[in-house]
Amino acid sequence: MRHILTAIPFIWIILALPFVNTFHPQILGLPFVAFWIQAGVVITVFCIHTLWMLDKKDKKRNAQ
Amino acid sequence: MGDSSALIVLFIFIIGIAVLGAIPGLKDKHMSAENWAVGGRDFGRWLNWFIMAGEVYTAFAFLGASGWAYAKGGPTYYILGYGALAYMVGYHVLPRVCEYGHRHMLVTQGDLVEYLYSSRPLGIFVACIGVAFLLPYLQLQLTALGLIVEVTSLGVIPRVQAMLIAFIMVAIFVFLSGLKGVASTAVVKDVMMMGAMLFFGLYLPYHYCGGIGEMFNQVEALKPGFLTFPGGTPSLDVVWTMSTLVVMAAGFYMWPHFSTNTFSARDPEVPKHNAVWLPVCHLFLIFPMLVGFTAVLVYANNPLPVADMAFLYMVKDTFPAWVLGIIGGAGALACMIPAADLLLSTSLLISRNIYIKGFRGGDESISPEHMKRVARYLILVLTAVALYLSIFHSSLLVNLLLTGYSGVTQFFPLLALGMFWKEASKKGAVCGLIIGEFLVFYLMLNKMDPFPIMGEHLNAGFVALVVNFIVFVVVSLLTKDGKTKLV
Repeated sequence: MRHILTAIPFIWIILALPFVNTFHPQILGLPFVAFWIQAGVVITVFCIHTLWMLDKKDKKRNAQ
Repeated sequence: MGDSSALIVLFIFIIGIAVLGAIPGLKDKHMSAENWAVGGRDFGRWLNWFIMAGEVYTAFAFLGASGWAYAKGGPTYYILGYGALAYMVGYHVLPRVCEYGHRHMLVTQGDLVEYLYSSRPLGIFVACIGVAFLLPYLQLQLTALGLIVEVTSLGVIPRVQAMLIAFIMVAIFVFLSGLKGVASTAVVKDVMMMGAMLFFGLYLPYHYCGGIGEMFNQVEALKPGFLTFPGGTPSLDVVWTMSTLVVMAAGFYMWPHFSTNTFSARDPEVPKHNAVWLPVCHLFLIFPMLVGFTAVLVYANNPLPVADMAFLYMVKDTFPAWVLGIIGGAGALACMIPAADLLLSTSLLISRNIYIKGFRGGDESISPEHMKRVARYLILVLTAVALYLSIFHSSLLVNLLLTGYSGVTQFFPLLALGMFWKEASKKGAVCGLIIGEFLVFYLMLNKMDPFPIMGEHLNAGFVALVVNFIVFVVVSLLTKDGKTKLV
């Protein structure tokens, strides 16, 4: 699970890049590729946050 | 009247920030060495977040983002992506750095390397390389500040005077307050900076084109292909971007000053909290790009002399002078705060790792007070050196600056793997580092960056990192002694 969460941003932002390098369709006014990368940042926040929650849960369990 | 209002606003900012930064030092006249260098290691989550944000989002980050958007187009999007990836790497690496720091009372990156590989010479070597890349970065802040003040004051205050005034102020407050001064001023700067970016990034496209989508449509109509990779450049293509993102993600936290900042965190939870919330800051970098792309349309017929000043010119040509004063002030702060942090880290590296450990036989024989005194006076010396270099030899450090990011990225295998991989060895670290740095310099100075390969282009730092990594792993596996310490 942790490995997947760590890998998602790299897959989204780096590996997917050759397939999203277009201007159309524009989303929120942004060129598609700019929107894609920006969306990747939001997804990264989500992934890191989930990782952090998992870590906290583990810590609690270990403390008990 | 218009001119002087911009100047007055600008100076209120510069002087205000120096006073604010000096307060912690004036209140606590007998600050301990540890308190001064790493803020007593008890910075909580948000304070550490503000320091990190204050350090990462320099004036050059936002001026550069709009300048690249204006001059190069699409390739500028890489800036949007690297932060998130770097923070993901940081989430895994920094808590470890923090633990090592607290357990073994480390202050600098050189200390960490010295501890990991039980080798003082290697620590000193890493510290020297770190200083070599930090100095030009410090000089860049100075030069950017000079430019900003010059443009903001409409040429009334020449660059050199502006640099002198602002940097003497920075030196004074770092001298007095150390990292605590950096922390309190960073809060002001971050809020100012984000507010300004948000406002201008949204307002200017509306003002000139009636909306963000409309603005992009007009740019696409004017210059087809400008808004995707490789945009207005011959070689910054998709492959270059992918390799650059890898370099930035790995290299980001290898800048020596981030080690010191991480040691200042109260516990390993703090860098984790940072990793979650710093990407939010990074989302703001789209706004200066919007300004840069709007500038493509506004200055379609009379190109700007300095692309990096696109943001300032847009504000100058759209708003009254006092608004320019606010932006100039925010920009000046965004040079001064990173400069303060860089000064502090560089002086700690030199005083601890190079002077005391290299020449005085180690810190066992020297009191913390002595060390603090040396580091403090070094701040003044470094300020003078940086000022001297940027006034009289402004092109001397350009090569070091170009190689800076790729250069510090070469620390990644020995530092990051050294904390997690039990086979990592001193010989592997030394061999990988030397080969990596050599390749970086060789490729960059021979104009082989971006590195052409099969019709595409790679970031030269990436090529060096891959070779460095392979050498590090192979040599580590072959050596039996000098293994890293995992606790």
